[in-house]
Amino acid sequence: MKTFFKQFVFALTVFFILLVILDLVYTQIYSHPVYARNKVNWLMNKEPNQQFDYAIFGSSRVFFHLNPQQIKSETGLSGINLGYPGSNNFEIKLMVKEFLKHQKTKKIFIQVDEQYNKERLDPIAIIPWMPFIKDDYIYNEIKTVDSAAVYKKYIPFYRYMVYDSKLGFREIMMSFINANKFDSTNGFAVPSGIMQKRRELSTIKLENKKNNQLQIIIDICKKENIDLFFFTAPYYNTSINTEVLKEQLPNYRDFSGVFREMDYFGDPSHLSKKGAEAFTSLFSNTYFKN
Amino acid sequence: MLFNSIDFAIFLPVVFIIYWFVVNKNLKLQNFFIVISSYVFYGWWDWRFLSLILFSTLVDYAVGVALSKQNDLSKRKILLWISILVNLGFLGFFKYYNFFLDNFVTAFSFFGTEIQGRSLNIILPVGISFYTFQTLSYTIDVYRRQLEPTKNFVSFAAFVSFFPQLVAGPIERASNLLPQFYVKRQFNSKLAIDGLRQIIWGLFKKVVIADNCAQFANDIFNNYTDYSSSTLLLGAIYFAFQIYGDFSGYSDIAIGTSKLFGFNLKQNFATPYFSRDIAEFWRRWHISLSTWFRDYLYIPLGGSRGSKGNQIRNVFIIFIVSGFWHGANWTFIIWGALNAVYFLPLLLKNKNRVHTNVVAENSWLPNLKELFQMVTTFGFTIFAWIFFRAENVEIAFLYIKNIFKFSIELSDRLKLNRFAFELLPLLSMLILIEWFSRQKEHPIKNVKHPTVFMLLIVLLIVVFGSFSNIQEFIYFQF
Repeated sequence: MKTFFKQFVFALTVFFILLVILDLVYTQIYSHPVYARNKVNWLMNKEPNQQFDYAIFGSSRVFFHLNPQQIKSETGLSGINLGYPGSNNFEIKLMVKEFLKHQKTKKIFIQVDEQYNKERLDPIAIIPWMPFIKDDYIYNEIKTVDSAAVYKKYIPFYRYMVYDSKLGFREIMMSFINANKFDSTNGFAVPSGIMQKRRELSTIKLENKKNNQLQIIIDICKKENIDLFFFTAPYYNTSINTEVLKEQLPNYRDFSGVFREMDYFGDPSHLSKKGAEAFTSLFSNTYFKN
Repeated sequence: MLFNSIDFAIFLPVVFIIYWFVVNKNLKLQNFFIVISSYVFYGWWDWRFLSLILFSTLVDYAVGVALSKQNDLSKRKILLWISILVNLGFLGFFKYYNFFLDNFVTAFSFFGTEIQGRSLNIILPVGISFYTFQTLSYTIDVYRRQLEPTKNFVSFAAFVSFFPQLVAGPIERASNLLPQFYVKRQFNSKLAIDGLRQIIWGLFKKVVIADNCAQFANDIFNNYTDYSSSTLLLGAIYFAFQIYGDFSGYSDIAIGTSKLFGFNLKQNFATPYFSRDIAEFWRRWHISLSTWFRDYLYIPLGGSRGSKGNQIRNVFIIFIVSGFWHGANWTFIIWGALNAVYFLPLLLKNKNRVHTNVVAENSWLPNLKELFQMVTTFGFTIFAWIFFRAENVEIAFLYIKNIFKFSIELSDRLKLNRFAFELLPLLSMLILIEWFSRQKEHPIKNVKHPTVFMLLIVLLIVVFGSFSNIQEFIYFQF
């Protein structure tokens, strides 16, 4: 029995050390990647104290829709697109806070849509934050909405194992060899594909109540003296009760029904390349040319 | 409870500690504790079906006792049939009721008679095919007077429900496992350490090989119309490794866990993909089931004795029944029949026992002939796996038809998939490790630096394991 336990404890100890080493290596690589492969990583590795004229936050409906380079060529203003797929109000709040810790801006734009009533984290969109969960501020934020946050912080390498498909070995290797597609466009990714089938009218019903995550952003911007704007990006053939958003959010503008042409869309929630160009122009005319 | 779950990671050490530190003084306590632990293990999934195991245990125990007191052949036969009918009755109802009903309805409507059949929403009790066969082997052996019936109910209940192998085998013979419950187990460090190593190796095959292959194979089989021939072929190869990693990994974990408790179970897989013909493959794949069918079905039918016609009949019966054992679907029956077709030429030429040793026994590498034989056998096996994996027979044929379109390209979806990046090197590693340990029960046995090797395997599990997509063991559904 003694021999068995000796061997077992030895193996367990080495296993634990192995996990600690792997955790350090992975975290180090994600903290200082050769190529930042996601928006969170990209933001964390941006040169600090840059002054932007504006910053836009949201989901894929920002990531693929608003091109800061095009806005610059049309208005001369320099901005940054910090939207990323799946990002919800909770992740948007994290992103805004992280951005304001290291960068400066005069205007912030937040995209709101059918996800408006969500307060909790998005199980996919939260993943890029996981390498940084040891940061007290990020951990304290995540633990309010994720009861497993404590394991992800304190069990070495656990977070890389449970999110192996997004933060695993492949992603680590890719961070050495494959650049992202939004670095050169200040955060905008060019959409691909055009919607082929016309879709019946779909209806989105929002509840008329405050969103606490967005309220925190409103308070921060007030405190930092930053102009804050909310907007809804275009949908194809969709009815959404945006009067709720008008009532609950300051400086809200509704773009949800501005386009009807099919070739402006890749799918009912996302614009095509042509649609993104048109929407960027419309956005720039609305906010920056008056 | 899954072997690769947090629940089991807590359950196993707790049971281990109580077993060796609390109930270790007394054989009866040891066995009783195993029964309780096994029932907890099984009840974790669905406690209602514990009644089935208990009933099966009571019936076979009683039949065994009655057989020991009975010398009249016809009465002995009746007792045997009681056991067979009860066990196969449960199995037939839970596993095959809807299948037979649907096929009767279809057959009658084919001949112009519409009949109404009411399908039942039946849950298949996990492991029923395994423990049913295990208890049946006991009754048959007692009936044949090859085994002394046990008078100890707790030992017998422990034999039927022994948790490491309860839900997916290996299907142990009473003659091997039951006597181990008659002797108080003393802790054997060497055996326990070996068990631990075998568990690690089993986990590697399950979490790294099978679960990663599963994502690829599932994607390809579920979208087979979108993919080219080369991708479909790759999908079948991935499934071959998925099912091997999954089931042999499970068996390794089961055998390793048993060793932790002082038990020796029979080897269930012996590097089957290095087989030189299909007969050898079936001596190396799911050995406990193959030998069960050999001893309790094939040989009683006459085996390879008698006329050629009888031999052919016996081969088809054993393979088709074996296919049907896996599930109530025509795909499994065709899979079994296909294996019979592969096996038949060997039997007819009397070459089914040519390769009884390990391939390239005394050399590092196989010669060209052996390599060709192994690749050919693997090819045949893959072809049969397509039926095993497909949802239904029609899809299996369409899948095969699309393979024979001979279009060679890897689709964009496949190239983007993370597993294209990691899986091929991992499979190559598995093949190499297994090749160089093909004469051993598992690769971490009797190596120069077992701890280093084991930690290397653990490293591979941690880095390459598929933890975000934990798959249930395939054989749980059987």
